This record gives sequence, structure tokens and C-alpha cells, in this order.
Amino acid sequence: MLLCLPALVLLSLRTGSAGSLGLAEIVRGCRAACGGADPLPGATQVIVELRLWRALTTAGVGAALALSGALLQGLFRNALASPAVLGVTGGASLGATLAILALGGGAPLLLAVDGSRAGLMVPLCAFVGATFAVSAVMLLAGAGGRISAPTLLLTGIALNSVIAGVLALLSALSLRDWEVSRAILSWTFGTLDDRSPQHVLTIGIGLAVALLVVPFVAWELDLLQSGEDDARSLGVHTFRVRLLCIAGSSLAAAAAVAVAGQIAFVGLVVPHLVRLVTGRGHRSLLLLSPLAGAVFLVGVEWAQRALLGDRALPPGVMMSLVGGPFFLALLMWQRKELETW
Amino acid sequence: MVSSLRGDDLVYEHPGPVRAVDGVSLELRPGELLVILGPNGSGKSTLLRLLGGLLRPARGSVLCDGRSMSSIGLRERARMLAVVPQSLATMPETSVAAFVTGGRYARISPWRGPQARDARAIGYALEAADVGDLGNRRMTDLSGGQRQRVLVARALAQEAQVLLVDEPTAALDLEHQVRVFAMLARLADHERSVLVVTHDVNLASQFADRVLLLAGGRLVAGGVPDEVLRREVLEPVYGPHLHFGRMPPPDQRPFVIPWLRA
Repeated sequence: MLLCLPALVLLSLRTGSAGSLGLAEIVRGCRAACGGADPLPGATQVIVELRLWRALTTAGVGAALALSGALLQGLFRNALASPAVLGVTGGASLGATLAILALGGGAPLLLAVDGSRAGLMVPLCAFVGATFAVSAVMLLAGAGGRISAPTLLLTGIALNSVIAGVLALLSALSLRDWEVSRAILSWTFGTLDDRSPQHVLTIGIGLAVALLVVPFVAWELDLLQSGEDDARSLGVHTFRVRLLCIAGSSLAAAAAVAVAGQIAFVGLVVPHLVRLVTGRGHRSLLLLSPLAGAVFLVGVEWAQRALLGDRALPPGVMMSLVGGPFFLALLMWQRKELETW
Repeated sequence: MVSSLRGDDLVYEHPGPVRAVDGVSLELRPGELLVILGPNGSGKSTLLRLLGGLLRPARGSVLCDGRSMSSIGLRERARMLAVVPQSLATMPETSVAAFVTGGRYARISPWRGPQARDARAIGYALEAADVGDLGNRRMTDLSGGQRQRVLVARALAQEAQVLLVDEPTAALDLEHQVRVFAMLARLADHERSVLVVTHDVNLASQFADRVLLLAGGRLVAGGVPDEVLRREVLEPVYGPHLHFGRMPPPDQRPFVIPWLRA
């Protein structure tokens, strides 16, 4: 997988609607994008940079969503948990939608265009929205200092319903403003086009900070598989483990939603696939899931661009169309195993 | 030095009018095997969870080596006392060796990882619990008796000087019941204090240094087996369908069997 990712990124840089690029052009264009060489002539440099930032953002988003899903599935001891469960996706989308309403339909592009304070508003509001949603879930579910997983799960689902209602209301109210309405819709579908170094930086920082929790929760999540009381009797601070898992998964998923909108199923499917290979141990699962998530999303994006060209679907739509049936098939295939987990 | 554990005036209330544990005081003395008996719903397992710090008492306190349990952090607590549950919420799909390594959690630094002494402790625990040959087997593939011994092995890997064991023979055949209790008695003889919650009056009679009897969340009797396992003590708690006798010499400890007179 370590070799797959650079290979797929290279393929993504090579392939696109503006035509194929040679390896030498890609290498020089990338070096120039980092300030290490003279830019390529004409529009080629712009094309390389657009593809570079898009590929890196895609890899970061795939990794962050997969890490978020792996943490949540370990926390809930349930292979069906996903970043949407805690309201991260919903909260981030609500934050982004409010920013779009405040700044106008061009808001999602501001980060790419100038990296100014206004440009940071959409990702920032997505972060705030996700954090707010998770805090609300924890506050509602965490009475008495201990959080029970089923309560957390149900509270997340209830809050998601409320957020979905508010989002639908905001969408309905903004129907008259075509630009705003289009921007909100585009955010809902997910988008990886026109990404910038700021997007890469945002997802990179979010992913890196979220990865910091892994050494402090991997063994603990293994021990939690036998039950909360059992883990506590071994010395596991279960409340702290829950907090770290929630913080890490929220941060990773909020960063992903902030730079790419809503992309479903990566956080659900990738950890499940990795678990088929690595088994139930969380150390390997939490380290391999981000890598597999990056390979998965970059691979799907490259494949659909290679096959569909200009008619490539928004990533959120593509993942729902492909990931949904794929996951249903997995559920049917592994029904017995999931019942016992 | 072998640790002691004391509970003072412990009260625990489930929602509802009845207290699960109602004003129980007890002491687990250094190096002894103490058995808690009682009918279903008498509060035995709740008491064990209170003593293990897994439940917070509504009233009273638990002291380990003279220190209040609530002032001892979870990792330090796990180094002082080990809880052997009756069963696990979910059986982990892991090897026996990896499962027993979990007992070292409170002793392994997250920065340095397992050291040679951890490997030695795990090896000793596997051998002492008579599961040395099961290290590579998966937990889900074990029989009830093997799982019980593996749970004890994990507790031994904790190197805690107090063992709290919840119904260790509930799912075992007769031979394994004797083996598990003999192992617990051996451990108590040497370096640990062991408290066992069980329904088995006769294993308690045979192996316990002292027996406590719970009924309705209250402590109704306590002492050496000969003092507690008597008709006038047990019949008010368990009812009239009991037959009393004596085991063969040399011990001649009391035994009790359920018996419906024809």
C-alpha cells in the first residue's frame, strides 16, 4: 500500500481533462510548485499545480475519513459506526452552510483564491460546527462523568436528525439565491476540484493532530473489546480513551468535511476492509486505515476521471453510488460476524 | 508484603427500594483465601465490584493497604488488585498470549513497551494457571474451563497482591472446579490475598480460610467454615431443603447438599 499511494498520486497528476502530462513535466511542475524550480511554460504549470493540490487533498481526505471511522468503530465496538454517527459530518456541514449563507455563493472558492481570513471562514465554520455538534452529543450523553456507548450512539443519531432538519430549512430558504443554493448543494455532494495549498495544509494539520491520539488509544481499544468494567480493572482510563477517540475522530472528519464537503462511506468501508486483512487489533487497524483510505479515495477519483473524463461525478455522489451497494454486499457476506461483534 | 483490603459500612443502591449491598464491613487479611457465599441476588457480585473499585459505594469506603480506593488511580489500582470476572462482555478474538499480556497494561510504559520482565511475568502467569500450552490458541476456541484459567492467568500477570475472583467455577465440571479452587488456595498460601465469590458451599468449606455469608445485601455470618456452614446459620438463608454431613478424614470439613426429603 505504501507503494500504491505514490503510484496513484502520480497517475492522478498525469491524467485529467486537460490532457496527459509526462513524468518530467510532473516532476518539474511539482518542484516549481514548492519553489524548487522554474515554473513550466504556459498553462502547464497551472495544470500540474491544480492536479497536485487536488491529489494531495484527496489523499488527506481519504486518510482522515478512514482514521475517523476506525476510531469510532473501535470506540463503539461496532463495525457500522462512522463519522456521521457523532454528528461530525452534519455539524461540519451546518457550519459550512452558515458560512456560505453569510459570505455568499462564492465562499467555498475563497480559500483557494486568496487564502485570506474570509477564505478560511468555510473550513473554520465547518470545524466549529463539528466541534459544537460533538460537544453537544458528549454533554447530552455524558451525564455523571461516564459515557455509555449506546447512549452516545443514540444521542448522535438524534442530533443528526435535528441538524439535517436545519440544513433542509436553510437550503429551502436560500432557493431564491441561485449562487448560494448552488454552493450549498455542491458542498453537500462533496468536491475535490480547485483545491489549493491551503486546503492541503488544513487537511494535513487535521490529520496529523488526529494521528497523535493513536499511541494512546490503540491497546486501550483492544482491552475495551472485553467490556468497560474489565478494561477499567486492568487500569484503562476508559473515560479518557473515549474523549481521545472522539476528539481525534472529530478533528479528522471535520478537517475532511471542511476541505471537501460531505463524502460518505469512506469512513465506514475502509476500516472494515482493513480489518478483514489485519484482524481486530487496533494498532495495525489505526495505522493502516489512513493509508488505505488515501489509496481508496485517490484510486476511485483517478479511476472515474480516467473512465468518465469531464463527466466525472462529484466524489460524494460517486462514493454513495459505489460505496453503498458495496457495503450492502459486505453486510450480506459478513452478516454472522457482524452480529457477534 | 502481602496486601490487605477492607470495606467499611459499604452501601450500594440499584434503582428501587432494595439495597444491593447494605452496610457490609469486611476485611481480606494478608495471605488468606476468603470466600463470600450467599443465595442469588444477595449482593455478592456487587460487593466484589465495590471492593474492586468498579462501583462507587453510596456510603462507606474501601481501603487497600490503608489507602482509600477513591484516592488510588486506575493504573496503580490495577497493580494492587486484580479482578477475575465470571465472564467477559465479549470474548476477544485474540490469542491467549495476547489476552494475558493485557494484564500487564498497568505495568507497561506506553513509551518503552513490554520489557523482559513483562515476558517473564506472562510466562509465569501462564504456567501458574496451567495454560502454558494454550498460548497460541484463540480465546474464542477455548472451553469454559480453559477460559476461566486464562482469566486467572491474566490476573496473575498483573502481579497484584489481592485477587478478587467472581464465581470462578460457575461453568466448570467437577474436576475443573477442584483444580481452580486448589490453584486459588495455593496462590493465597504464598504471596497473595484472594477473595472469591461463589455459590459452591462445599468448595468453600474445603479450601477457604474464612467464609462470609450474605443475604439480602447484609452480612449475616462470618468465620471459619465450621462456624458458618451449620444448619442454624444456612437454613434461614437457603431454606429447609439442605442435608449436612462431614467430608472424609483427615479434614472432616462440613458439606451441604440440596436435598428434598421424600
